Amino acid sequence: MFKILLINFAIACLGFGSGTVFISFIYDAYTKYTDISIQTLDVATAISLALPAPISPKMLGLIAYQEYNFWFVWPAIITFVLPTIFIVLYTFKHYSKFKDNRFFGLLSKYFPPIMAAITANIIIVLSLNNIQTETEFTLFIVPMVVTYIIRYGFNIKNNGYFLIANCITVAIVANII
Amino acid sequence: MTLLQYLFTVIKINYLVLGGASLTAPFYFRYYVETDIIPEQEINHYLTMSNILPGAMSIYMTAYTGLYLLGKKGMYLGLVVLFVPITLISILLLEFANYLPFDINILIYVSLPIMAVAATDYVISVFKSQIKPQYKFGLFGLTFGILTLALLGTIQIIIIYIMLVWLYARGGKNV
Repeated sequence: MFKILLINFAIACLGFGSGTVFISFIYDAYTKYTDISIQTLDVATAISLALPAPISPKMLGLIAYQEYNFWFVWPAIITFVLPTIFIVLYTFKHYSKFKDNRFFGLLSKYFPPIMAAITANIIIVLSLNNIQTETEFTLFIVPMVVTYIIRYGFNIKNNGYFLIANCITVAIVANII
Repeated sequence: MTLLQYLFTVIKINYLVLGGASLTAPFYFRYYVETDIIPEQEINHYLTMSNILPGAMSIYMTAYTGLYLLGKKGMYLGLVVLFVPITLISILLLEFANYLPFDINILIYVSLPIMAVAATDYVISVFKSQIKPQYKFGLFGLTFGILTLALLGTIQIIIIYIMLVWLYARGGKNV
């Protein structure tokens, strides 16, 4: 039990970026240092990816729930969040000292395009890893076309289209498989 | 911005987006910058810090915006709203997985296409905003981003190659 908390703490201290990147960190740490089965990790990943909101805390919570019980979910998430809270409080306190720094300003100004490139890269890598058979290819293309039609066909600017698209995709995927 | 409004914005930004925090980035601009609640420069700084510092990006963004708008109370409550409801929903889904008409593992396929669309949407929005007159080198920035990734990948491959050659030279082939 203590090992899981320690692993979550280590993941928070060593991992960078957003949820999709953290999935590989979590798999790596849990398969190396615990006896938790891949099946447990797969179920946690599937649910975390299918639901909205941050992926990594959900995934760690689900692993803790499957391995132990409901009450262990919260310490598991807190150990993951705690290091970041300390960093946020520390950096925010000293933020005024470096926010006018020229280099930091330039870095911030040009960060959105770099992030867009990183995001596109993550999606490409994830897609390539998960599309290896014809069925998987169909499962990728059909829902994507549906989502594109919903998003651009009806020109929905609000991010609520994700939910509609998600429901339709679940129906399509469930029917194909 | 009141506490309730802030918590509602946290839900709007995070609970309608699949695929992790990097895809929520445009919504920080939409809900905070376009409504003049937080200056664009601040959000850019927070995005940069949340990516260059260790830890999950969603926690950073919620904590920074909460701290900026309402202090520590906003930060802690924002984080509670960010994690607690969705964790409970995930557990409920797991508990009722047996009653679903399909194997729960197929859900892994569900998010990918939607994430792909969301990512495209994000890349397009960044591309559009970056070619505005105030971002003279926006196009260069996007190219630079892609080249940085390619460069990092190449450096990684070279390092791995050198390590393998070094290991081989030390008799690593027998290991």
